[in-house]
Amino acid sequence: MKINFTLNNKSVKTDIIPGQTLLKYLRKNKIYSVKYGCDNGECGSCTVLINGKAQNSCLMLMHTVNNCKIETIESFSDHKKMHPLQKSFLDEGAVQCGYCTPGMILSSEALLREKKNPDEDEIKDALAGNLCRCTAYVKPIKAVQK
Amino acid sequence: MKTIGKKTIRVDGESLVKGKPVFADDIKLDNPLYIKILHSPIAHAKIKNIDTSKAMAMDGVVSVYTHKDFTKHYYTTAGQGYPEPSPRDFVILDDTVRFVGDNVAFVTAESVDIAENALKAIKVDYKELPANFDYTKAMDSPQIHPSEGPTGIHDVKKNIAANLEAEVGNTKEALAKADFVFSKEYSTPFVQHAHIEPHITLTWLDENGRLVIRTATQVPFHVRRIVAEVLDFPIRKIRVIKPRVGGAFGGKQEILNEEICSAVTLKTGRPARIEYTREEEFYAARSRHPQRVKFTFGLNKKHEFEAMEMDILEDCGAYGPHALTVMSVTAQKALSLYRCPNIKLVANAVYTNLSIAGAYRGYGAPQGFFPLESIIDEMAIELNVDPIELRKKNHVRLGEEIPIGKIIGEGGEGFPVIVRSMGLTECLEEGKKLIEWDKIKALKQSGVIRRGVGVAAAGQGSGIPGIDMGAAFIKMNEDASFNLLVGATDLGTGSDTLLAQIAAEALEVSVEQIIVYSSDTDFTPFDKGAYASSTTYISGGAVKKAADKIKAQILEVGIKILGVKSAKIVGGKVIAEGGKSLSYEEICTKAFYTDEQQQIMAEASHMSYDSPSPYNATFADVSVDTETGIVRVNKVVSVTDIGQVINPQMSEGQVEGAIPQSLGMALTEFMIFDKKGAPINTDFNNYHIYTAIDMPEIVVKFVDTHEPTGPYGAKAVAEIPINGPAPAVANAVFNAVGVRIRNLPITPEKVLKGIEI
Amino acid sequence: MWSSIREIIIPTSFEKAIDNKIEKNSVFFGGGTYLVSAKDKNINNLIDINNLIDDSIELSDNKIIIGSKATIQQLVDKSITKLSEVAIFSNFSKNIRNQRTIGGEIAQKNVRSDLFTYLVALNPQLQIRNPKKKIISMLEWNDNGIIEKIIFNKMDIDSSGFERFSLLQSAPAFLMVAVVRKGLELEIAVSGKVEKIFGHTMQLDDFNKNTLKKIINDSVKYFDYDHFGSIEYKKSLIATGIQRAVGQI
Repeated sequence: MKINFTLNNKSVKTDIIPGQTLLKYLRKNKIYSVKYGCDNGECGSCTVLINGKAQNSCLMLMHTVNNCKIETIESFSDHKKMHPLQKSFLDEGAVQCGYCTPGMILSSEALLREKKNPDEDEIKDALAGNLCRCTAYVKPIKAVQK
Repeated sequence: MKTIGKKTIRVDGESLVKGKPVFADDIKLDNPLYIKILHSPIAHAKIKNIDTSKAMAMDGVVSVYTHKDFTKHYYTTAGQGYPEPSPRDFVILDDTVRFVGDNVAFVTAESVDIAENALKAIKVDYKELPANFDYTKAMDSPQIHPSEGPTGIHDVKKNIAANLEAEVGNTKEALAKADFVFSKEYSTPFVQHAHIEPHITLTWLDENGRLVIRTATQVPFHVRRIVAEVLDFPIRKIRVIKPRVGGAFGGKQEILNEEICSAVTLKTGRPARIEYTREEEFYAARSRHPQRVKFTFGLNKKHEFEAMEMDILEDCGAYGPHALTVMSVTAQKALSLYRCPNIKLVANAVYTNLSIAGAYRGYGAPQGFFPLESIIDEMAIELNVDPIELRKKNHVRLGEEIPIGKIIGEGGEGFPVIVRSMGLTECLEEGKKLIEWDKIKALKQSGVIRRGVGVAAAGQGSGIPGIDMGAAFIKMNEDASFNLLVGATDLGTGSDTLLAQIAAEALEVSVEQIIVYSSDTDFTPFDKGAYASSTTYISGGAVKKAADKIKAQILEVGIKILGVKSAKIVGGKVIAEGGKSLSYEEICTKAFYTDEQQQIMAEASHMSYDSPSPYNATFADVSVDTETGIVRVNKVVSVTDIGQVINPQMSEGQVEGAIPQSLGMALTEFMIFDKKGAPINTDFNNYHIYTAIDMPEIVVKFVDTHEPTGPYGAKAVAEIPINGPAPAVANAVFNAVGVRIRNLPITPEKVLKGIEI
Repeated sequence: MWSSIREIIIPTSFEKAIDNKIEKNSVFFGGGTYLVSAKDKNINNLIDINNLIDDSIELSDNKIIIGSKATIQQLVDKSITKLSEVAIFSNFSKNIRNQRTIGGEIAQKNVRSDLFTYLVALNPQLQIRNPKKKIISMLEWNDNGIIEKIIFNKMDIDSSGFERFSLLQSAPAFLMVAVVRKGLELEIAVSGKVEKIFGHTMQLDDFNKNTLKKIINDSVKYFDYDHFGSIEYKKSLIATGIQRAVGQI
C-alpha cells in the first residue's frame, strides 16, 4: 500500500509495512528526535504533530498518516535560527536530560497554535501526556508561559 | 565572580532542544544483531533443560545463548570502584533463576520482532524451588545462593548478603539513664527510577578490532573494567562511550546488559543492540532497596539526644549489587545529622526472590531519613515541643566532628568528618516562612478536607571520601578557547555545564570559551562516574586544579615571551609591570607556531577524604480527605544549603526534579508482586508517576554558605533533595488528621483506618 | 511494530466492511489507540472504517448526536458538561485525546476507563450499521456491526454525577462511581480496578439506606483485596462515591 504525506515540509511517497508504527518509521528514517519510552502511548516521548495536533507516534499505524502533515522538532530550527519555544526552554533551564524535550516542545507548540496566551492549567493539560522524571515540569511550564 | 553563581545556559542545551541525534540509540548500526532476553517466569527454580532448537530454526534467528555457552564467572553488576564492595553473586547466565525476571537465555536475530517471537519458542524445563518474598523471614528461608562460587556474601546460608555494625560510646548505658526513651519501627518499599529513556546499549568492533560500547550509563569506566573481566577481554581493546543519557537516577549505575551486548559482538563480530522495553524496566532492571528501620532514641531533660540506636533490615532482592553500600549510607547519613554521644548501628541486607534492588538517588539516605525525621516528629509531639525547634536544638553544628563518620564509610571504615559549612537552621527558618507554617497550624478546621503541614531535615554527602576520584585534562587553542576533557558523566544533570563554569571562572574567560567533551574512556581521563553526588565536589575539584595549572602555564609562557621578570593575569591578558602585555590569544598562537613552542595543557586528578554534607529542610502542605483517606500534596518547599551555588537554574532543577520522586515513594509509587513473586504493575499506567497536572506548587530556595573544601565553596546538590519530601508528607498527614503512617506507602486505607480509630 | 498485521483493508461501504470482517483474525480499526497499544498477535487484518464514519457533534435542545469518529478531545472542546469532564479523567494525555475516538472507547469496553464507566450508566443509544441501520441501546449491543453514531439525551447528562478515587489526579481510578437519573429511575455504575463493571438500575423512590447497602455489597464483589485496599475499605469508598455522585445531580 502506498501513501503520501508531508514530513517537515517535504513531501514523501512511500510503501508501507502494514503493522509499522509512525515511531518506528521515523526512527528508521533518521528522525531521531522522536523517541521510544514506553511504546504504549503513556510517556509522550514519541510525540509528533499531525495536522497541527500533538499525538503519540507509537500508537499510529502508517496508513493513518496518509495525506497528513507531519511535523517533528527537526523542522523547528536550522543552523541559523531557533523556534521561540526552543529558546525559552533553554533560557528557563527547562532542559535536563532532554529526552522528553522534543515531545514537550511539540505539545506546547500545538497548544500555542490553538491559543496565544494559555493559562497555567491549560499548559499543564497540554503537557500532561509528556512524562518527565527530571524537571518536575516546573521550568518547562515557565518556559511555555514565556 | 564572573561565572560561578550566575545564570548559565547549558552547554549541551542546543542539541537537546533541537532534537539532535545525541542519545545512544540515535545512530544506525551496520547490519546489527538484535538481542532479546528470555526472563524467568518463576521466582526460584533450577533450569533442568533448555531446548533452543525450535527457536534456532526460525527464520532470522542467529543464535540462542544459554548458561552452557558461558564459563561460570561470578561478578557484581554494581557500577562501583574496584574492588567492588558488593557480593560477587551474579553470573551472566546461570543454571538457576532466583526471581521473576532473572535471565534465562539471550536470542540474537536480524530484527527485534524476530528475536521477540523466538523467545516464545524456547522450551525451558524448570524444577521449581521454594521461594521467599518476605525479607523479614529471609534469614530463616531456604538458601538462595550457593555456598560455593560466589564471594563477598556475609552469610550465604542465612541469606545475609551484607552486615554492618558500629558503635560509638555506650548506648545501653545511655538509654538506661535517659529521661525519655522512644522506640519505633518504619519501612520503605520498592520503587523505580522510571527514567524515560530505557536501558540501551549498542556494541560493535571498530576498524582495528576494538570493542566499542555505546551505552546509556553513569559509569563508563566501571563498564569497561567489568566487561573486560566478565568476558576475559583486555581493557586496552575496549572503548566505552557515554552519549547523552535520558535520565538515570542510579538505575544506570550498573553493568546492565553491556556485558551481554559485548559478548554477542565478540562472539559474532557483528554490531549488536539491546534495548529494554518499558515492561522490562519495571521488573528486570533495578529499584530502590526496601528497608525496615527501627530507631531507639534516648533524650535528656533538656531534650538533647543522648543515645541513638538504629537497626536496619534491607531487602536486596535476588542479588546483592550495592547491598552493603546502600545501607551504609542509610546509616551514615541518618546518624550524622544530629549530635549524639552514644550511637549503635546494626544493619543486615538479605536476599529474597524478588526484583534486584540497586542504586537509586539518595542511595539509602531516603530510607534512613524517612524513619529518622518521622521519629523526631513523634518525639516532639510526645514531648509537646515544636518539631522545628527540636531539630534546631539537636542538629550538628559548624566545626563539630561527627563521630559516626569515622566508623562507617560507604561499606567499611570511614574518615573523620568535620562540619565546615552548615546552613540547616537557616533552611528550617526560611522554609517555615515559605510554607506559611504558623498560618496552616493555626487554621480552625472542620469539614471533610483537612489540611496539615510537616517538616523534615536531611543531610547527604559530596562524593565517597577516600575512594572517589575524578580527573580532568585541559588544552588551549589559539582563540583562547580551551578543550576540557573530563571523565565525569553528565546524565542530564548538567555536569558538562557546571564543570565548564568552574574552568571558565578559574581561567578568567567566559563559559563559551570552554569546549567540553566527557565520558569517553579513550579520550577523557578517569572519573568514577556520576553517583554519590560527586561530580561538583570531586570532578569539579579536578577541573579547578587543572584550570589553575593552565593559568600558571599561560603566565609562565607569557613571561618568557615578553622577556620580563614578572607579570600578572588580568582579564584574559598577561600584563607585565612595565606595561607590556600579551592576550591569551597571542600567547597561544605564538606558543603554537613561533615562540616558546609548546601546547599549553594540563591535567589534574582530585580525590578527597572529605565529603561535606549539604543540608536541606523540606516542608509539605497536604490536604487529607477524611472520608476516603486520599492525600493530596498542595505545596512543597525545599530549602537547601549546598555551599556556593554554581549554576542556580540547574541546581533548582535538581531540587525540583527530586521532589516528585520522593512524593511518589510516599504516596503513589510502589512495585506490587503477586503471591508467586511476579511483578504486577509493569507499565506507566499502573506504576503511575507524577504528570504535569499532578504537581503541587514547588518553592525552591538556597541559603548562602561556603564550603572551604569544595571548588569555589560548592557542595553537592543532586541527591539530597530526595530525602525530605516523604517524611515531610508523613508528618503533614499526622498534623492534618492525627494519623501516623510508619510503613510507606501512605495508602488511603491506612489513613482512613487511622482516622476512624 | 505490530508484526502480526498482514493487511490493511479500507472498505468503501459498510457492506464491504462487514463482509471483510467475516474473516477470522480481523478487527475494525478506528482511532487505534487501544489496538496499537495491545498489538494482539492474533490479529492479522485491520479493516479501517474511518472513511465510513464521521466526527460530527450535533447539539440540539434535548439530544446530543456524536459521530463515532469524534475524538475525545473534540468531546472536551465542545464542553458538554459532565461528559467532557469525565472524558478527561480517563484520558489525561491530550496526545491520546487527539487520537482516541468515542466509537473506539465503546467498542473496546475498557472497564478501567472513567468514560466507559460513565457511558454504562448513561447507556446512550447507538446507531449501528450491520450493514443495515439499527438503533439499539449501548448495553444491548452485541458487538456486531459498526457504531456509526452515539445518541445521548441531554437531560441524562445534565442529571448525572461521577466520582473517582485515584492516587493522583492523572492516575487510573482504582474505584469510580457513575450515577444517572433518568426520569424516575437511577442508573448506577461502579468500576475501577475490576474485571467487570457493576451496573444497577433502580427506582428513585427505592433509594434508601438499605438498598444502598445492598448495592454496596453487590458491587464490591467485583473488587479484589489488593494494594489499593481491603474489601471493607472499598465498601466505604463505594458508599462515599455514590453519595458524592448523587450529590452532583
